[in-house]
Amino acid sequence: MRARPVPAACPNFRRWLLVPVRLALAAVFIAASADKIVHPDRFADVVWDYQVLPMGLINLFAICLPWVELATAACLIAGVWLDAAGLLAAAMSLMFMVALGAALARGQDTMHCGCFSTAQEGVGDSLWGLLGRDIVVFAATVWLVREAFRDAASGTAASLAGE
Amino acid sequence: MALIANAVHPMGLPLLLGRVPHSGIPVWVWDEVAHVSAKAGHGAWHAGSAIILDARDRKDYAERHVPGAINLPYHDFTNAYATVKKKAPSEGHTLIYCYGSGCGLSMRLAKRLLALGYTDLNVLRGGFAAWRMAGYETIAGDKPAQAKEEADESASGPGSLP
Repeated sequence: MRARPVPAACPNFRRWLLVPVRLALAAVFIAASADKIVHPDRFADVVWDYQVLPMGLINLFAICLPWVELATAACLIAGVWLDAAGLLAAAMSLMFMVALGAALARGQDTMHCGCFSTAQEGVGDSLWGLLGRDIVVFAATVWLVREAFRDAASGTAASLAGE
Repeated sequence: MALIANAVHPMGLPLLLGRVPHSGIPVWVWDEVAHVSAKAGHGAWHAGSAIILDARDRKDYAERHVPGAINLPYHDFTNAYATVKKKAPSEGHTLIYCYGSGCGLSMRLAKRLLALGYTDLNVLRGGFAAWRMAGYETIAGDKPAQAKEEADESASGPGSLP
């Protein structure tokens, strides 16, 4: 069976789709970082509740992660270092999935995720709901990374060919 | 950038745990709060000089708590504080406890109360576990008023207090 030829419009469509996806991801990461930057102590409390990091690393993690999220969002908006920003975004989504998985494995079904707010009031969010949301974000970051690397590879090939 | 922001932030955290053995607690908060033993806490309770706050969840409070302690669960702070603030004035001598030495809820609660203007905050070292280990009185029930009445009754009984 012969492979169907790729329509010429596809690369343009991909390029067009890349912009809203990276802007949406940037919005997610800006929203995620803002309250953590304002309340580093409360974010450290949220991280402690996940029970996946040793106590000695929690403060450092709580101080640095929001700024990494913000820097990632800035790169996504500016469209620079997209491959690195995409990889960081994917790594952060994956890390969050692991933390949620650990909480589920401990038998918890709700918790204060600390995703967009560091307030720890009420019963918290459903872990399955959070996991579903994170899977969507992770899928978007993986697609972004793939596209960024594809663009980088085609750019390298073009420059090698002297175009 | 992150480290600079942390250094100038009023709630900036120590990078390494040393003097402050729990994460999420700025050094000045740790220094502002006194850490008292179960014996000293019991002394304050016995003298009636302290407002005692239980930072644990409602279920655990209802199961067993220090007689007269008011439940102010950290995980429902905003709702609970609205009803608790009249009974626990900010200028009073306040003793906070949670589950045990590693739970950290007492210090978190103290952190929030400091921000609300509380000045004389004390955390029971070892929490409720240390209180029970020392053999001090505990009581069941979910209402502090009821607990206080029962505590007063038990306090008037012979040999009920050390």
